[in-house]
Amino acid sequence: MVSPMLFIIAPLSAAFIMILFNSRVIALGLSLLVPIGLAWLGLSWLPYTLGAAQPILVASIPAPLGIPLSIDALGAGMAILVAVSAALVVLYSSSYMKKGHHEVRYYTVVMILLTSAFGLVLTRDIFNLFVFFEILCISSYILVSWEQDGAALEASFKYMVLGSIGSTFLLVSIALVYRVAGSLAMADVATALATAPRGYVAFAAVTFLFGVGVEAAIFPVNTWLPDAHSSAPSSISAILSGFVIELALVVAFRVLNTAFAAVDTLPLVRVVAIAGVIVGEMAAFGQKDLKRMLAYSSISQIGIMLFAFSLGTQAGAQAGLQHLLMHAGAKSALFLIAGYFIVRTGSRLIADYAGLGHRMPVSAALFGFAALSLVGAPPLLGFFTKFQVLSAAGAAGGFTAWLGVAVILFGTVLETVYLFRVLRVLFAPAASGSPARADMDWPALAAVALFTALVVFGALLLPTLSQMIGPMADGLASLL
Amino acid sequence: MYTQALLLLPLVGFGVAFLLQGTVKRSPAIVKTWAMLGFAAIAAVAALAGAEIGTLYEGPTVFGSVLTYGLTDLSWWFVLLIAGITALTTVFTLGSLRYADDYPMYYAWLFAKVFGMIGLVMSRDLLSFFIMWEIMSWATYLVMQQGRDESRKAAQGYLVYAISAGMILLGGVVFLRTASGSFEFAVITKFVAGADLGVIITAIVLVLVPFLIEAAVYPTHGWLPSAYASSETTMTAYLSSISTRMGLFGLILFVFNVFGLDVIDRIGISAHLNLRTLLLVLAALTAVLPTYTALFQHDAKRLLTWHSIGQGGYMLLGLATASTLGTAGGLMHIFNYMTYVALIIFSIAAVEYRTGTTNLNKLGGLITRQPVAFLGMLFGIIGLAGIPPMNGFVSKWFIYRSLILGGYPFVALAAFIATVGTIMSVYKLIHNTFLGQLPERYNEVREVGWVMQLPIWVLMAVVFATGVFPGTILQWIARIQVELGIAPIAYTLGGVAQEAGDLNMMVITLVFTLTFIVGAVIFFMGGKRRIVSQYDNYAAGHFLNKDVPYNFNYNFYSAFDHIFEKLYHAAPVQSTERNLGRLVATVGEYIRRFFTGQINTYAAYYVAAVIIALAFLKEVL
Amino acid sequence: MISTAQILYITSFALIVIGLYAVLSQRNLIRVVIGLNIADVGINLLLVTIGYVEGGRVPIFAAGQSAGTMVDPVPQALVLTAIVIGFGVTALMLTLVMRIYAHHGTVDASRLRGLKW
Repeated sequence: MVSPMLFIIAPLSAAFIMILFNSRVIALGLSLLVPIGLAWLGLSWLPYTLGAAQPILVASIPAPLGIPLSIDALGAGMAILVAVSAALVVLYSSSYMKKGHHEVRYYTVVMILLTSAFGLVLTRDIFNLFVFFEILCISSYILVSWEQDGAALEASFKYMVLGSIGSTFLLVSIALVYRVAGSLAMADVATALATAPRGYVAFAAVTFLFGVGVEAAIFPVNTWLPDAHSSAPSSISAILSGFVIELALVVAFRVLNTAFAAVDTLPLVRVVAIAGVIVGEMAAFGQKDLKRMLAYSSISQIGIMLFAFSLGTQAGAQAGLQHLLMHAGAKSALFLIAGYFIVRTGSRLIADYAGLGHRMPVSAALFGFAALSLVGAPPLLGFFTKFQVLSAAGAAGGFTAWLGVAVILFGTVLETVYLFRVLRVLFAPAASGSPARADMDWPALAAVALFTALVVFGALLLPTLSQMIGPMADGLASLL
Repeated sequence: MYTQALLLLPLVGFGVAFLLQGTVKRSPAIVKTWAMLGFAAIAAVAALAGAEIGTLYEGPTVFGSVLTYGLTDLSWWFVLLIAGITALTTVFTLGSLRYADDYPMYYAWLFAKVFGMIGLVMSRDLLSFFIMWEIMSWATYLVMQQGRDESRKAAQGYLVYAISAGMILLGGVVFLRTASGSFEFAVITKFVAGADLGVIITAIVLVLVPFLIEAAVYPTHGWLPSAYASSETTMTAYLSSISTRMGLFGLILFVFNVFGLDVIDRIGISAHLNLRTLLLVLAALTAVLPTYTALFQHDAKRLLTWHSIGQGGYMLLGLATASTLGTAGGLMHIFNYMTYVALIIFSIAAVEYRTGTTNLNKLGGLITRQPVAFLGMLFGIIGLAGIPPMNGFVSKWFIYRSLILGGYPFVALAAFIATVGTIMSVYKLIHNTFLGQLPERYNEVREVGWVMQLPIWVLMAVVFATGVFPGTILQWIARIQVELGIAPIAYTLGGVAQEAGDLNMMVITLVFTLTFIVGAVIFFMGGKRRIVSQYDNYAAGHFLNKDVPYNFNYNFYSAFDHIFEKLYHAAPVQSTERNLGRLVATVGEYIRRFFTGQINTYAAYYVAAVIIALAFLKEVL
Repeated sequence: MISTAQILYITSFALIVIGLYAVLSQRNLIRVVIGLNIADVGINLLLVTIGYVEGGRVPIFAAGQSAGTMVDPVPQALVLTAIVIGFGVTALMLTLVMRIYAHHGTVDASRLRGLKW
C-alpha cells in the first residue's frame, strides 16, 4: 500500500518543484498528475477504510508525542472528491487562465491549498487542524485576490479579516481545550472534556464552531463568501464553492460532534443551518450578478448540508454527505460555466447574457442541467439527495426539523425562480441573426461536462454509493 | 410488456427527437415523421395495454423501496386520452408547424411531457408518483417556454406555481412517508384510516393543494391563461385539453383511492359543512369567475384558456359530489372537454395558419373562406356551451342533475350562471372569427390542407358521436367508478336509465334534427333570402362599405365590459399573486442588506454570533 | 490574593477583547490589522499562560529535576507556530492594504464597500 502521507507530501512537493522550474508545462502537468494520482490513491485506500479507519504513523512517533493522523472512509471519500474536483478544475484552468499571467504561481498556490485540504481530512490533532486551517485560509486569500483588481482586493481583505478573527477564536478554543486535556489529540480531548465543567466546554465548543465555521461559511460568519466567491477567478470560485467550504464544514462538524460531544451543540447548529438556508436563498433572489447569485446559493446549500448533519442521525449524516457530493458537482459546473460567460461577454451581469445560449449552446445546456440538479429536479442526482435530507429530517422529527423541511422547500422554490431567470435570459432570442458559435474551449468543456455528468447521471451511482455511505457517515461521529 | 413500452417509447422518442434538433431547420420533415411514428406507436400500445390492467410492474429500487407502476381502469382511461390527443395534435402539427426553427425542441419536449404524464397516471406508489409529477411539471415548463420571449415570460409564471406545487407535494410525500413508514399506496391507505385528525388534515392539505394548483382551481389559477395562451397554438390546444387535468387525476386518485372518501369526509364541522363542501364552493367559483373573465378577452386563445379553468370547475363540481351521477359527469367532462377544446383550438390554429393572427378584433367573416374550420368551431362551441346534441351537454346534464339531487341548489345555480357566460363568450368567439364582414386583407384566405383538416374532422365526429351515443364513453366510466368504490352508473347506449329521470341522447338528437330540418325547410321554401355583397348592407343606420366596416367585432362585449370593468380589474387573485411576488422580493432585498459590505459590521456579526450562541447553549444546557 | 496566572489570564482575555473591539470600531484598515495583531498577542499570552506553572523552570531535563516543576513546553511550541502564522497573515494583510490604497485611494472601511448586498 502506498502511504496516505502522500496526500500531504505530494502536492506540497509538487508546489515546490513547480516554483523551482518556473515552467508552465511542468506546473500544469504536475498539478494535473498529482490530483489524479491522489484520486487513485484515495480509491485504493477506500476499500480498506470501509471496514475500519486506518491510523497513519508519522515519522514512527506514536500518538501522544507524534501527530495522530488517520484515514477513514469519510476521509478517503472526501480526499477522492477533492482530488477529482481539483484535477478537473486544473484542466479547466489550463484554458481559462490567461497565459503568462503568473500561471506557475497560480498552480503552486492551488497545490498548497490541496495540501491543506487533504491535511484537514487526515489530521486527528486539534492544533494540526489549526495549522492546516491557516494554510487553507491563506492560500484561499491569495487565490481570491488573484485578479488584483479592486473587487478582488476588497473581497480578499474582508475574507482575511474574518478569517483572522476565526483563527483567533479557534486558538482560544484550542487553548481552553489544552488546559483541561493536556493533549492536542482529538481522542484525548473528547475524554477530557466529558468530565470538564459544561459551561467551559460550551464556550470552547462555540468558539471552535465559529472559528472553523468561518471557512465553512456557516451563518452568520459567512459574510465574506459572496464577495470572495464572486470576485475570485471562476476556477477558484469552483474550488472554493465546490469543495473547500464543504470540507471545512465536514471537519468542523466532525470535531464538534466528537471532541466536543460533552455538550449538545446540535440544536444550535440546526438553528444556524436553517437561518443560512433562508438568508442565502433570499439574498440570491434579487442578485443581478451571476457569480454573486451562485455564491449566495452556496450559502444556502451549505445550510442544507449542515441541517442534515445537525439532525444527529445516521440517515441525516448520509443524506448530508450525498448532498455534499451533488453540490460539489453542480456548483463547480455552474461556476466554471459562469467563468466562460464572463470571458465571452466581458460582463458579470445576467442581463448582459441575453441570447448567449445561441452562441454557447453546449455550455448553456450544461448550465441548465447543473441548475436543474441543484434545485432537485428528478431524476437528476439533486432530487435524490434533497429528498434524503428531507426524509431524514422527517424521521428525526421535532419542531426544528420540520421547520427546516419547510424552509428548504421554500428555498427550493426561490432557487428555481432565480436560476431559471438566468436560463430564460440565456436562451432569449438572439438579437442579430445567428451569431457565431463560441462555446468553451475543449479542456474547459471536458471538465464541466464531467462535473455535469456526475449530477445528471449520479443517480445511477447511488446503489454503489449507498454501500459506502454508511461507514462514511459514521466518520462524522467518530475520531478513529 | 405494453405497460413498459408505454414508458419506454416516449423516452426513446425524446432521445431521438433531442438528437434530431439540428436537422429541424434544414429538413423539418425528418423530425415530424419521427414524432408521428412515435406518437402513433404510443397510441397503438396504449390501446393494446388494456389487457394488462391490474398487473404491477417493478422499476428500480430507490431509497430501499421499489418503484412500482401498472395500469388500473382509471389510469388506462387517462393513458388513452393522453395518447389519443397527442397523436391528433401531432397530425395537426405536421401541417401547421412551419416555423420549426422557432420550436426546434417542440417534439422532444412533447415526448418528455407524454412520458411524465403517462408515468404519472401509471405510478402505483407515492415516490414514483412524485418523481413523475416533477418530470411532468418540468416538461410542461419546457414545452411552454419555446418560441417567443412572451412565451418564456409566461412559462416562468407557470414555473413558479408548478414548483411551489411540487414542493408542497414533496412536503406531503415526506410527511406521509415519515408517518406511515412506506411509499406504498396500500400502506398509506391503511395508515390514514387509523390516523389522528391532525395528521389527516396535514396530509390532505399537503397532498391535495398541489393538485388544485395544477388543476388551476380558483384561486390558484393565475398562471394558466398567460402560460397557455402564449404557447404555440397547437400547444395551447394540447395543454388546455389534457395537461391541466393531471391535477384532477391526482385529486381523483388520492381522494377516492389512496385516502378514501370516508377519511376525507371525516374532516368538517358537520355532514354538510366539510372538505367536500369547500371543494364544491371552490369549484363553483372556478366555474363562474373565469368564465365571465373570458367574455372580455380579445384573443381567441386567451379566451379559451379562461374556459380551460372554468370547465375544470365543472369537472370538480361533479367529482366533489362523490355521487354516481356526479362522478360520471366529472369523469366524462374530462373527456368531452378534451375533445371539443382541441377541436376549437385546432380551428383557431387553422385560421391563424392562414391569417397569422388570433386577435378577435381583427378577424371576421371567414366562414366562406374556411368552412371546415368554421364547422369545427361550431361543433366545438356547441359542445362547450353544453347544448345538445354534442357531448358537452351530456356531462353537464349529469353534473347539474347530481348537484340538484345531492342537495346543493346554490352550487347548481352557480353552474347555470356559468353556462350563460360560456354561451355568451363562445358566441363572441365564433362571431368575431367567422361571421360578420370579411376584412379586405383576408380575401385570398383559403382552407387549410387535408392534413390539418383531418384532426378537425375526426374530433367533430367524436364530439358528435359521443354526444349522441354517450353510452360508448359511459361504459369506461362505469368501470372506473367500480374501481373508485362508487356505485357504477346505469348507462344505456343513448345515456342513462335511472329513477330520477332518464336521459336518451338518441331521442334528443332525433328531435333536434327534425326541428332543424323543419326550420331549414321553412327557410329554403320561404324564398325570402337574397344573397348580396357584404358591402351592400347596413347596420345601426349606417351603410357598410369598404371604408365603413362592420364594427361589432371590435370590443364585442363592450357594454358588459363597462359594467364589470371595475370588478374585473380588481380581480383579487392577480393582485395577490403580484403582491406575494413583490413581498418575497422586498423581504429578500432587506435580508440582502445584512451583507453590508463593511468589514466592521461583519466583525460585529462574528462577535454577536458567538455571544448569542453561548446564550442559546446556556438555555439548552 | 490574585495569583500571577490569574493576572495573566485576565490580561490575555483583555487583550483579545481590546483587539476585537478595535476590529469592530476602527474604520482605518491599518488599525483593523493592528487590532487583529493585538488579539493575536492576547492569544499567544493565553497559550503561554496555560503552560505556566507557579515557580516553574525551563522544560529541560537536568540532573535531579522532575517534570513536575517544569512549565509545559507544548504551548510554547504552539505559540511559536502561532506567531509565525500571525506574522505571515499580517504581512499579507498589509500588502493587501497597500494594494487597496493604490486601487481605491482609501483605507477607510466605510468607503470600501464596492461589494455588498
